Amino acid sequence: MKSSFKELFQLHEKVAVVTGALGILGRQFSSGLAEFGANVVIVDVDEELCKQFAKQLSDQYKVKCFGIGCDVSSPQQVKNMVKRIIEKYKKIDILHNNAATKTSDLKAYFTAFEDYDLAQWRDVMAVNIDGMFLAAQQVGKEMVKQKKGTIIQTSSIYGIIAPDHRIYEKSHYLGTTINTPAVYAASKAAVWGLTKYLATYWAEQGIRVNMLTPGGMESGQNEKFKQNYSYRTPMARMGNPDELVGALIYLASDASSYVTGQNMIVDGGLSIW
Amino acid sequence: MNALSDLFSLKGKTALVTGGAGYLGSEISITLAELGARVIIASRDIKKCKDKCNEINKQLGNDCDIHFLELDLMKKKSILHCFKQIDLQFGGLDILVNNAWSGNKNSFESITDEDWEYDINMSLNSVFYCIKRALPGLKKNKGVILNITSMYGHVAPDYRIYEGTEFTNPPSYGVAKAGVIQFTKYLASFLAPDHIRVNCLSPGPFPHEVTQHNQEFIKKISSKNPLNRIGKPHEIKGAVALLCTDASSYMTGQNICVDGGWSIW
Repeated sequence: MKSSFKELFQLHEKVAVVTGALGILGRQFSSGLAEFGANVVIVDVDEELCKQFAKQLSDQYKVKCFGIGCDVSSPQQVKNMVKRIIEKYKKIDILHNNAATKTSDLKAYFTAFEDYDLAQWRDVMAVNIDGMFLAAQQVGKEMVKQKKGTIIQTSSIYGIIAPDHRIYEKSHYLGTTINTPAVYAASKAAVWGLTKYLATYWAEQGIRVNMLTPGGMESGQNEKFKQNYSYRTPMARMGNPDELVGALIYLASDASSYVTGQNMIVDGGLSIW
Repeated sequence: MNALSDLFSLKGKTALVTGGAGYLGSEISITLAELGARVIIASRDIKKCKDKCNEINKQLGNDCDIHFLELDLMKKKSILHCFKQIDLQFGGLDILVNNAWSGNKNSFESITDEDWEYDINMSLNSVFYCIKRALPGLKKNKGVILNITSMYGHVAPDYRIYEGTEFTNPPSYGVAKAGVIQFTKYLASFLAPDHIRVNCLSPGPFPHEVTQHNQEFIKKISSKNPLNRIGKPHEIKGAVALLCTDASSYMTGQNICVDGGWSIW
């Protein structure tokens, strides 16, 4: 531990890899890590956009960010991604396993459970849980060599509690009707299993593994949905993606040096009643 | 392995149900009696206990073995006396069900130090006292402890449902029940070498008949759980039967929720 408590949250000279870094939450996570001094590797599907965002963060926070295009469901691409990071930075201190997908077919993604297509289910699982496995595996190998590292995995409140399906009535998101598909809940619950497993598996190697569980975050839902969701929540509102950053920095930094296998729930109290 | 039909049998077992004549307590007493146990119903209101015994006798037929004892959980002397009586009269317990509850209506603002202390004594400390006194018998008989807790021992109340009603949810209640849930886990671990299993059952919304007259309130608490209704007292019978019999011989330290799904969303 560093000698000064003020320094506890500092991430200077740390290399942080964020998957799904171009998403609504991913951008906030990446910005937060960069603001605390980390050199952030922006990982998402489109390399060009990753590079743009990396440059933006580098300029803004005077850190050395880097953009890499990678489909985390592809073992080969994940291997290449980690190889490129090690070539450039020689180490990885922080992995934020954050990528998740609705796939490119929103209609298939929001299909009712009774009619849900197995191929669609597998496409989602391929990113939401296989992707976390692959990234943790490849990055973890490096962290084992370093005997040090921290991994944060993004779950969801619906990996922990069940949705109240009544709130989706007349609810829209970016113009389409929405729900929480079972594949989302199942994949996010699986993240909890992987998190706890890896926490004990790598504890002796100096690697901490924790989970970050967001509640509903405002990102383009219609008023009706916001109302319905807010009513379900003790704090009576949806969250703002930037409200997740504090918990992430805590888990990513030495401030949580004795914390592993834990779930940080940032949900305005949704799961407490 | 036991034949399936024997798994739930409590023939030859002796059970104490504290508050065993109350709203949910009655269901617990009947369940254990139905499964063949000798059941002792105990509370401060000895007449209520006696009437309940007669009622259960009538309901199940006279071959059921049901008794009543006076037990004031706020008085250590009474607890001591009750368990001494059980040892003398029945040779100790096989099953202890800590179910009794009483308390005043309060919110966090209204609750006084005295009411807080009463609730903690009633709902948490008494469980400790009873288990401590029952332990020699339970050890000898490789017994079972079932603590009746509450969903409010693991989830917070939504205070909006009490608005405009006379009902409340005192902070001391959930605190005491949370304490009992943790105590259950502690004891499950600590008493495992003695072959004593300890579990708890957390009922969700089971409002008394009187409360049920307020239909607006019932509608509100119903909508708080996925099944969208309140529980009927007999709906805890299955969990009681499971947790008090050999059907759960490999379960200990668990908190079984009978709450219409209240705590899953």
